[in-house]
Amino acid sequence: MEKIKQLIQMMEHPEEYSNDQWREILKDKDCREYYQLISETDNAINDKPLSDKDVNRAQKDFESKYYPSTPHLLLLKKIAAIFIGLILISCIAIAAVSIVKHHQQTPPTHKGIVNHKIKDSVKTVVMKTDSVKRKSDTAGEKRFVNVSLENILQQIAVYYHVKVSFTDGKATKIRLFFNWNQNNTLSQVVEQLNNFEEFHITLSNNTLTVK
Amino acid sequence: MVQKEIIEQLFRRCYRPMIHLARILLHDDKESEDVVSDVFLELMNKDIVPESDTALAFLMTSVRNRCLNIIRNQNIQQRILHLYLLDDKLDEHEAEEKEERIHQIRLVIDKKLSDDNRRILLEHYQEHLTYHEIAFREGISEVAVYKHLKKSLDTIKELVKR
Repeated sequence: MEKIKQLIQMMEHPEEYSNDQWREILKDKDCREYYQLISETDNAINDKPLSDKDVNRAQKDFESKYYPSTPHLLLLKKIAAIFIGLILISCIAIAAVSIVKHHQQTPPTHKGIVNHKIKDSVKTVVMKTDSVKRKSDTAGEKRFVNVSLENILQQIAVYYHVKVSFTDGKATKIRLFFNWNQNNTLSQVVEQLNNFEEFHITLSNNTLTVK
Repeated sequence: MVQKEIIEQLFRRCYRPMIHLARILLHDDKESEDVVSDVFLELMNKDIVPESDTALAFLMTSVRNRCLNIIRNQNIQQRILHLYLLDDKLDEHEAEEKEERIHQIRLVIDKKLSDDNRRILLEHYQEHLTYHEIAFREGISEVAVYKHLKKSLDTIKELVKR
């Protein structure tokens, strides 16, 4: 019985005893049987039946670990990836356009500006540097941003089927911010343009003359 | 490679007894799950599957052999630590015989032990509390804990036929 007591005590901390010590105690047949009894008692206490949920979970774990996605799912994933890719590219393009627009709309405040006058809702800006012409955002309206008067009048003349004549060479170089409402008559457009102080436009015999 | 549907069918039918056998031999849930997964993985990569009526026996044998290999690769100290089988019990029939004895032990624990003995036995083998922790919880000495455990094991030994 002393050996059984010793076995039970040793089993409290098996790692504290060497392989030789374990072999020695387990030479005894009663000790081996008692060890087996303890092992099986542990089985009896801890072995619990599995529920259906446990089996399903194990099966899903196994399948997700060892089975690749089915071709059908793979195709859907590819389509989803392409779709997401297109959306991303679209977002980037929209963002890029917005940034450029925002940049163009920012009033030029650098040292290239030599004259900046506001009369009613129309601005005149004379710049040494070239800039960009931007089309209007709304139908029937065209917005010129920092575009030369020559360029603007040429487009207006084509639209209204008239000619353009410059008697003042300097006036052709004036650059403007101007919203051209294409629904207006040519006379109305000329009137709006004449709000600028730097030049004067007249309309006669189907010709726009800039003085 | 064996079709997925066949593996699914076998998994549903055989997983329970397979995991039960692995747990009896390895005393460890996670390691048992790994063994059973490995058996299914091996089956999945085969070209043919055992017939339906022999599939369970085939899978159980695979689980048992894998478990016994794990046990054989451990030294005696590690085996005691995991409550593994000893060398003289490492044969293929031992697992089946254990099954019946474990059932009887469960009955003795449920029906023949006193409440105090059963509670302390569960505290030690189910909750894995030390003698010291059980003594503190129960308000008794460590020697008293030992005596309760010894009494339970002796009762089981006496009542369970070998």
